Amino acid sequence: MTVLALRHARRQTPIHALNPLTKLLLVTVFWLVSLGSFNPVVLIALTIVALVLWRIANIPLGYFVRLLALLSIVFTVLTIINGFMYYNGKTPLLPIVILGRPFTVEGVLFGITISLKILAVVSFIPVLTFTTPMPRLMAALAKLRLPYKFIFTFGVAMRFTPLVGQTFRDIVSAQRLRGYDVEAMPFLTRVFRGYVPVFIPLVLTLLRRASDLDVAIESRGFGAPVERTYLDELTFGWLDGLVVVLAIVALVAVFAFGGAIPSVYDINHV
Amino acid sequence: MTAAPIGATSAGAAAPAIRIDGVTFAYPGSPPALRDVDLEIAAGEFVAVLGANGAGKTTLCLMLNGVIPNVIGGTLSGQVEIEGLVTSEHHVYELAEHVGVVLQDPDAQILATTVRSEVAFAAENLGIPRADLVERVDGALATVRLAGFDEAAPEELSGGQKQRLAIAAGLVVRPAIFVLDEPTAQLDPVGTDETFEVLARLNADDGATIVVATHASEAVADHARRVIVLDAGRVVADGPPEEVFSRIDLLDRVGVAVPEVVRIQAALSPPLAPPPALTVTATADAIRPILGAVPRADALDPGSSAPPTAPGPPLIDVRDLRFSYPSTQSSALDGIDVSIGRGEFVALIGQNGSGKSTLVKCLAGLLRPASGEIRIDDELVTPKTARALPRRIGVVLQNPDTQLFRMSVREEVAFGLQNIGVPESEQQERIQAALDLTGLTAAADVYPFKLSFGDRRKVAVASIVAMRPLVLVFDEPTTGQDYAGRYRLCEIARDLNGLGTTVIMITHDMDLVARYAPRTVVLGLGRVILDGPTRDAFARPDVLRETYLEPPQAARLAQELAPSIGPTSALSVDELLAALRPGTAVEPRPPVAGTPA
Repeated sequence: MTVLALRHARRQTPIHALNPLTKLLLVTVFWLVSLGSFNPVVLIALTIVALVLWRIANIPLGYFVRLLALLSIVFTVLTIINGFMYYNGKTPLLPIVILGRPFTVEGVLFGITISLKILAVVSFIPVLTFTTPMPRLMAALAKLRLPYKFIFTFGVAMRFTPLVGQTFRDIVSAQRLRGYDVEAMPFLTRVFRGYVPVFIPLVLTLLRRASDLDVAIESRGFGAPVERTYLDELTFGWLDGLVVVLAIVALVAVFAFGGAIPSVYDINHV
Repeated sequence: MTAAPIGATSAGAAAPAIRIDGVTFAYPGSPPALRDVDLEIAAGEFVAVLGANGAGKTTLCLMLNGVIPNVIGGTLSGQVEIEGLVTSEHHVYELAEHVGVVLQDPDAQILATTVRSEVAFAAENLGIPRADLVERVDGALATVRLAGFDEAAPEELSGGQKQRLAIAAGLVVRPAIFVLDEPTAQLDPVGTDETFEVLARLNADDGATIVVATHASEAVADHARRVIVLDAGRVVADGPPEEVFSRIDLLDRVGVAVPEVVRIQAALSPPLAPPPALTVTATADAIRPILGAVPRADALDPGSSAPPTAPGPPLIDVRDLRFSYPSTQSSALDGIDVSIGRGEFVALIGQNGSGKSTLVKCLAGLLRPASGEIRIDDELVTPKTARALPRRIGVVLQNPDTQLFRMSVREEVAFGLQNIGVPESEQQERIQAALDLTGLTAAADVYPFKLSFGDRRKVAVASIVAMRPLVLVFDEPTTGQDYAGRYRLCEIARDLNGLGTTVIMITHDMDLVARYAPRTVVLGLGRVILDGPTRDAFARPDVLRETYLEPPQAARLAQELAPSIGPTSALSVDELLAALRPGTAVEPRPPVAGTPA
């Protein structure tokens, strides 16, 4: 279900109406800020901004809950590892020592910051993908002068991802009909050998599909030495202009005055 | 760089659309797939290419747009010319302006995430200016009747719609020639009709040259004006459909289906004057004058129409079963009640989306119904008992490649037995019995992926049969099979049924239903709309048509002739002939040619 937030849905919202290039710029700016900042307050603020955009774009907030649930495992692992491994860790939090390293307050805070960073970055992805049909996104990438082979690969990947998922589920069902139930296995058995009867048919099916795809692409003039045209025309409206200006102002502001935003802690001076 | 000129051909006016000159082609390390093929196809022809699996149909199709030898290599002698262009001397993208190709599996050839961008793909690649693009895309969508689906995702379309989309995607560059490789192999009868109707319109209205490789002989008889038959890479027949379909002995030998109406006309004595009629109505018109004036009573014992019902409680008992998929609002199963007795052979029919597969998934415990109950062998199916279901119900899926993963056929068959905990001592005996039944004993140590598709399906059957379930479900036993292969799985099913296994067969193929299943359950929109003896079901063409199915030609002909020969419940060619020739012994239908090595 979480994958639905990554797929385009037809809606009438201002964000759907934006030029995909504007959205690409917007998302890139927010990513730069998220990646550049180690201030948890800034990172939480960015996530909130992303959620406001979700709201405007009519993206169901339920996806965010699922996203959190999915990422919470990653976040927990990250925080625990950093708790022990953070190079600047000084203040022990728990009386546990692994590989000669204590579990520290600084490490936990650092782990949380990294988690918030990931959350902010991930939260901006649907703002682009949920609101932009793939052909328009591909036309936008072409405007950026990216090589068409790269754009095409990206587009085909988006088309075939759900098909791969479907094939995977079909194979799991097919093996269950022969009394082999991957989902009922203990976690470790499943991870180490449970998926063998699923992955082999999956890989073989995908290989066959790839060779069919090759024929289909060639048969339709792919690689003709002419300048490719695009059915989708990208227009740039006043809303696009406004968003671009706001995004740039936000970027400059954060980098110029970011240091002045109070933080619950300063990662460099704890 | 500028856009390439489109529509300009270097061909002279007199050149045929397609000229194949002394072509022999072999894939690397294989015997020739095509041998000494000489063909000329004029502009505006509608040509069907028939032949068993492996006869060379796909190879021929891929030669016509230069994919062979330019993308898929091999040893080629002779040459192919398309509107005057020699394929081996031109890039595939140059030929793409002249030839549109549609492949068998719609999912493998759809590349874009929306209908509109899928159609535009080839034209964008060839650099057609945007203003022209829009018009062409709209035109192509209108031609295949998909206007209004512009922004739909391919996965929202039905099989027939997807194949029409693939045709539109070829149409957009306005090629003069259309080549289709088994475009209807995975479609239900509605999808098959839709596809052939679009082709007929393109041929008639736009003068497009159509070359379609297919097993759908009856659709070919309706639409094509020339039929070419391939056998082991050689052209063995070439002519108008009336003429080619009259050569019944030849077609039986090379494994090509003969339309039932043609078979019936040939078996009459005295035989009708050639050429044979190709449609049910025309055949009825031709037969009527030679029939005796006296209406006959039904030649068949009406008692034989009652399905054999076993005494005792039903083996499968389904009560008020309901199910909806989370992604759609409508219910896939809307209160199904059905019970099936021990030892029955039941056909489960209905168009795509009628709920057949969903019902079987519920029976096999793969889906959990929203409400209602299922009992198998008097045990209620619950999430707890579902895990043990493979011992009681075996399902043979359409695509064997979703299961096979082991290094030999024997190991593959052993897999299920190991999973359900059959003692080692018993396994060998069960494996051998399953291999014997499916005729795979000689292939026991072969790597399953080296086998043909038909044989891989048999491996899947053997692996299910070895678990000795009480009920065996066959999902579309004819998918991907040619005429000779289509009955093989059904014969296995019949053998098992004879040994006491209950069989449920899901199919669109009404000929199979008529041959094998004494009882038919028709589903429509998640409900049972008809359940009874197959003869009764086929006597209700109105109900079948509601779900876009049609009785086999022989049964339809029997209905048309009913005023002359009296009411008959004949379902097959042999039964109809018996009704037409009282007192005459009917020659048994010749066995189907070609059994795999």
